[in-house]
Amino acid sequence: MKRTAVCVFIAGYLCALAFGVFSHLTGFHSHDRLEMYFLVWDMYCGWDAYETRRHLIAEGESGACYELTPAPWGDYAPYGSADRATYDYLGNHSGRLASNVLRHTEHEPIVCVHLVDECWPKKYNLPETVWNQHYEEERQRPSYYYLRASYDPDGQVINLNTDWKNYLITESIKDNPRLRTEYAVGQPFMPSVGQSQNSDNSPAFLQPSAGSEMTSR
Amino acid sequence: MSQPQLETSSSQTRKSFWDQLNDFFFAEETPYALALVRILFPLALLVGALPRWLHVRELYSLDGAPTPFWEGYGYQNLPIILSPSGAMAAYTLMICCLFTMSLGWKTRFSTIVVLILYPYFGLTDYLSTLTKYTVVATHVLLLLSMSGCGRVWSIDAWLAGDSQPQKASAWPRRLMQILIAVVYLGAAVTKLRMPEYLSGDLMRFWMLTNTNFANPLGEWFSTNQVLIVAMCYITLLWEIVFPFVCWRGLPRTVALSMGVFFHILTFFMLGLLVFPLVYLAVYCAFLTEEEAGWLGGKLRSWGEKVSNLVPAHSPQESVFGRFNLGLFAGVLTVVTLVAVTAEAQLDVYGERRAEGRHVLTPISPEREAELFSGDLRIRPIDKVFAFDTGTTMLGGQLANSRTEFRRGETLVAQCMLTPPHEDIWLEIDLHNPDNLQIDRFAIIAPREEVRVYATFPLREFLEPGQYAVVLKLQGREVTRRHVELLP
Repeated sequence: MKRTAVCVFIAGYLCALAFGVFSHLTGFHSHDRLEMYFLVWDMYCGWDAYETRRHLIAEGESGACYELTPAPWGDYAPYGSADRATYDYLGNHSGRLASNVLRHTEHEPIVCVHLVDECWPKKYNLPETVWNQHYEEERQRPSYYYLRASYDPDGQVINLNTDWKNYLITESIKDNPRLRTEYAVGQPFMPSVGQSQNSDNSPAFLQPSAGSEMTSR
Repeated sequence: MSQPQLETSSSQTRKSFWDQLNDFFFAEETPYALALVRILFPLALLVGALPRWLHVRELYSLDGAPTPFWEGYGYQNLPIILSPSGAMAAYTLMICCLFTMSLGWKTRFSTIVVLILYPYFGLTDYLSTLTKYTVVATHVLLLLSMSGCGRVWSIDAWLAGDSQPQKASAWPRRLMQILIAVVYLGAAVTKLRMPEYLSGDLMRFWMLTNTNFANPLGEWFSTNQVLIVAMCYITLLWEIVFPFVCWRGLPRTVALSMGVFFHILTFFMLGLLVFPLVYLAVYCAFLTEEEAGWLGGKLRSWGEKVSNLVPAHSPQESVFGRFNLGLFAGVLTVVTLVAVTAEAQLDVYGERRAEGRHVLTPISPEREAELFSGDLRIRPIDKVFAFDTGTTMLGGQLANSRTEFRRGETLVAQCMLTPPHEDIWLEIDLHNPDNLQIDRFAIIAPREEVRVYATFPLREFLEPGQYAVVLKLQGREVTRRHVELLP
């Protein structure tokens, strides 16, 4: 009996592992369910040419802004120098981080919270000595501040823009008069749920909110 | 002597597939290898788990900002986030059980507790706890919980007082080996699906990422494109062949040695810490009974020095043996209570400070203007990731970065653009020592291109001196590299 149970477990476990590889290889339900995270070995994705740090900024009723990262009691940096908010690639959870800081501090009534991505090309992460060997120009690291999302004081998402990389892709694609015309005509009245921000490969320009909030808060 | 060997050999060749499968999974062996995994693996997990102990309230409790992974799958507001005290108690229990698991004290119970709590805390904090090593760890814990890993080199085995080590079936160890191989196969699939991987660009960007731990060696190597491409190909090849060669003979030795080398390199080159430690610990599952026994013998000689300090009683009759269960429960309870009490006194958010709660202070108008300027035009210089000169191309990469050339050679200028970028009109010019343009290369770099090359034959009639290779984007000079033309 025990032997049979072990045989069933071995067979089941091997099938699960095999299904994970098959699913990953073919994209068949690879991210549909939470359990698939435990079977699909898709690590090493998300390599970008830009480094990102994320800032949470609360906007008070008076119009004054308050930086919530780092929190007054200090931020937890799980894997090095970057704080927790920086690992919120999808922008879904930062509102909760902001809400926690607001809950435990004194401040004026808050209207909303913004998640601002600070981005710069990773070449500026090179050490000074290596930089001097390969670049003749002076190292002047820029910071591109990109409004990623806005939340209400309770942490609920009000507006979620596509990420910086997809924003740049969108801009490069939109720089085409013919495509702009077709896009304007074909823009659906209501965005469909299927056009989610979660897919790295989805054309960013399909997302109605992509880049639309960039010039104003 | 030789005849029995021949008989054994011929009988092995006669074994059916099912017999071989039976031997593979159900051979009885002394579980030295899994005991090594049991000892080292929890210690590797503790490297990541211990620093989070001080942040339990913030990361995992209702009084903090947990970020549950399950919410992304539509399971909203599941009532399984604990109160601060509950979270601290559970986390402390997990830490204690990681230690007791490593010691082999109530091994199966400890492993099952960790098997439940470790993935739970990972799933509760998607942002800063859940990683793929959490997943690997969950698999390994599941297999360890069903194995006989506590039957040797453990407090349990010492208390059992068996003169001979107990044996166990090999199947948990075999499944662990298969797991490792499948993870590599999955990683290879990931890489094959990303064409940028084989150009070395993705690896280069990762080496320059500062969201992992410090990796100065990776930053230094990131400019050596050919080496990166070679490493990418070797890694991919190794990951694909690993499942097929990791079982016996010289290929096994090579595959496992490369694996150890690979995981150590991920620390120095990519800044990973817990992942390589976890993998090095789990690699012990590949040791044979003899290899693990030899390695464990070294550990045992060290352990005997410790055990000599303890009065020589029969283990079952010692105080420890008689009150084993009570002691185990007592230690866990006391440590957990102390941790919960201490955490409650910590005042993580500074709400009981003499000066009162923290007060948010407004940021300066300059900082506000900087954050919300909305100016997202990329500077031309930032559209260029690297601009190098050399003479030799290899695998689509500039193989030798040089600034000194001789007449008769061909100068290759390589411009690597920062992806993603728009379609760019790009020009590379060669200027003589008087800064006059003497050669020109111009092309549209479409958005899917990351690299553009220009070749300039350095003809005999060119005068020696300092020349410049000038890069222009959209008609304007962005940067230049000075090169020396030698006689």
